[in-house]
Amino acid sequence: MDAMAEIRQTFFEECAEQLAELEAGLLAIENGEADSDTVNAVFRAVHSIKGGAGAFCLDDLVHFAHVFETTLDEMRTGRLDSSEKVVKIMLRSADALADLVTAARDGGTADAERNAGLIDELKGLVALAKGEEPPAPSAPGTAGAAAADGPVYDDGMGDFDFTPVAVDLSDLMGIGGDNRFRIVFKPSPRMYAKANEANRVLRDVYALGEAKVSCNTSEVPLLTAIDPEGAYLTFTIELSTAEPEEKVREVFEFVEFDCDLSIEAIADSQDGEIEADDPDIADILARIRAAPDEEPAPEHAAEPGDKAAAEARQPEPESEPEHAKAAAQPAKAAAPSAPSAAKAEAGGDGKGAGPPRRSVSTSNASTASSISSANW
Amino acid sequence: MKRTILTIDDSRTMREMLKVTLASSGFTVVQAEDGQHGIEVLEGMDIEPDVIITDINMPRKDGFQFIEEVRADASRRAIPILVLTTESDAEKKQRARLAGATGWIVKPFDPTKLVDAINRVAA
Repeated sequence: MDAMAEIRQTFFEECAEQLAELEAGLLAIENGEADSDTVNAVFRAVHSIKGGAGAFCLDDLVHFAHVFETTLDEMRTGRLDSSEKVVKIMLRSADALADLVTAARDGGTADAERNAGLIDELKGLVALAKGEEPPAPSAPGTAGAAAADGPVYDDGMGDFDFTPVAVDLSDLMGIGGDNRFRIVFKPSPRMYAKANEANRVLRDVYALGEAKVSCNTSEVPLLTAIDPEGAYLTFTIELSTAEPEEKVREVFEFVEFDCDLSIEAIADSQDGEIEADDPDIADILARIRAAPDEEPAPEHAAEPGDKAAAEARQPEPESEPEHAKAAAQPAKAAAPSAPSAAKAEAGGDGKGAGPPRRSVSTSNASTASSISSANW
Repeated sequence: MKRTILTIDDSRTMREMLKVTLASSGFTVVQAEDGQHGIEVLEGMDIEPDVIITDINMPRKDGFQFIEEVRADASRRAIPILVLTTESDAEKKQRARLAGATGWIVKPFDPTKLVDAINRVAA
């Protein structure tokens, strides 16, 4: 027996246990003997059956379990009471679920019309719990139609009939050749506290195409003021990629709520060197003079690019916080681009206004290999 | 050196599915049956796992409680934790994120996407 066949067998064995637990739990609820642990166990039993069934593409089973689970969730949260009527529907649903499991295991068919009726009743309970109008009953002969249309276990909790429609965004975005985006990514301390790392995010951006990255270190404080769990760097990335914006955003999906992020499509006419505001040297010197008792951190003032980030991971290498490490690595990756930094140092965009600017941009062509060997 | 993944799920089916998928992709797999067991297994490991993958709905200690307990230990804050969830569960994703989850894997998982998610968060 191959591995998948063994797992399938395990799944059906586990289904039998969970169906027994489901029935026992519902009977306890019917007898008024249930506590929250019982309701949670009943919910988990159906949830587990749904999870395993999804892995084996048993769509009818997934669909029914999903609706059943959603109803149980209403009971679990206290919005749906455990009246006799409610529990009777759930006991009949448990029988139907068992039949669906048997049909999936043995290759038979379940009573589709009965199941469609039960799905309507379960949806009616959810509507009742939410104070909404009960949904219209399924038309006869449509049982299982949703499952046949494709996966339905990922629809919204209150929208059972939602069917995803594929939309070709390229028509709207004019995507065809190279797409170019300017991404500004400023991690917050929260991002690092969840073990996410800026360098990994940047690595995934590099994987999408050709990227030039600038690291703004102007918010890195003096050494004595650095919070080891703080986040001070802002990355500006100019990305050329064949991928649509959706794919670019996917890179940031784990961190999007824990950073400041902007992703904008840019036109060829907006081409140019990425600029980043570096610390104003005069300002740093003034701050040092104003704080004579503090470490002067001369390296920071002299080289506000990668040195500042390097300081962020000092002074205790043994207790180096992950996020400080992450902060340092992208800046380190930017180091090889010193010539371009020097080129842009005097005025950057040529407008000549504002504080001295310096680009520390780099392309993935020069950094991808080192990132690759370090992380993969 | 093989990366070690700690998987936590009360479903034997899911545990086995994760094990087969991850082992065939070159990972060493350590398993736990619920959040409480996950904490115990974690404490017994000589070397911390490279990534933890945890279910949410589990007896004794659920996924949220497990993540909060791991993150409360400063020495374990850098361990990436992925939660197993369904696409529709935006609320659970949000709760897991607030508890300290690094990311998530959508069930039923595609083996390639599972490995991709691990590679996205692993050091």
